[in-house]
Amino acid sequence: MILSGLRIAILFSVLIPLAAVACESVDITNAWIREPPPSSNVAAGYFDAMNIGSEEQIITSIKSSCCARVSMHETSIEGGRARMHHLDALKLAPTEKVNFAPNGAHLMLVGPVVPIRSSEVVEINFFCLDGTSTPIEFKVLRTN
Amino acid sequence: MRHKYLVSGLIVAAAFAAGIVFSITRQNVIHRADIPGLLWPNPRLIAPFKLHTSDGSEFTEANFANHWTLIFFGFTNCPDICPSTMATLKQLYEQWGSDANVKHNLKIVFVSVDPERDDDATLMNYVSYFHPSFVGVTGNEDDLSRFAGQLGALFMKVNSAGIPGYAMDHSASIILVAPSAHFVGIFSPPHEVDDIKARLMRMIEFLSETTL
Ligand SMILES: [Cu+2]
Repeated sequence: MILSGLRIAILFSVLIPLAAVACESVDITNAWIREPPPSSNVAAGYFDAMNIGSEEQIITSIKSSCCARVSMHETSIEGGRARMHHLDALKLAPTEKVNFAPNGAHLMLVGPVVPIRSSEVVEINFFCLDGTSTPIEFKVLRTN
Repeated sequence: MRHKYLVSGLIVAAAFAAGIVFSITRQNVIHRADIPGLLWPNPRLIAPFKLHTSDGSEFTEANFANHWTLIFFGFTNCPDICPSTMATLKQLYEQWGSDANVKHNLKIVFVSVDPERDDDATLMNYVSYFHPSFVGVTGNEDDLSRFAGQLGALFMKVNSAGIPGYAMDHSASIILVAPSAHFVGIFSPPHEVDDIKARLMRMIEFLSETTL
């Protein structure tokens, strides 16, 4: 009994530090939000993500206090018509790189509660499958 | 004797016809084959319709007169493709205005296919953020459908996870209308300013020399 309890404790002490770095092995760069027109209730965020670790990583959700709702979306064009799809998760194999860029995958920011204006910075948290998270600063840019 | 005349007459007629056919095709092929997106020959004349601009004036086929019009369909709660296309149109519009070689007037029209949420104030706010000269247009659902249908730009209300309420599936193309109210061109995505500008100049140049 004592031995197995000790084993579990050892197991945990090994697992927890490993788990804590999981989401950190997802390297997020070029994070920016397109400044939305003032009357718009939505904005889109973009970034490049790369798995710099040696194991597959899965980003399962995105959260931020900036907005009522944040999710991963993808714009696709089928037969000349644009539509948006919801992305449940973002899976990254080791060394895999994914770009969230205009007219493709984007973070859908709905109902901003803070001003999303040019030169502001918005913090957005990426959550990985193991529950760890990494905060990313998104710069708001005006593109026109 | 009569038979001989008939034969030579036929030969002359055949050569004449071939010559005509040759000259027509050569003229058209040279001009249109290398302008992707130009709808030629027989562009469609836009049938009468009635929408309104965000300042409350009527917007009908008469509003196409005296300039070339680029139309993009969208809605203000569209975060990705709409603002990105509008930003492209803004750049295009500014380059068009500052290019000494360009002599044709251009108007940019954003048609909201979401009249339920895009009231006039919202729409005006939205288009003027991109450029004060841009025109916001909308109307009731039936009138919008009929107008969009004429331009092959059908839209649809859809429910999508992560979006409160609904979203609109809509055309991603930019449409060119001539001053004569003919639907003469279509630019498909991806939209690049330089590419659109170059094709637009050639389309307008070609169409200006031609009777629609
Ligand atoms: Cu979206």
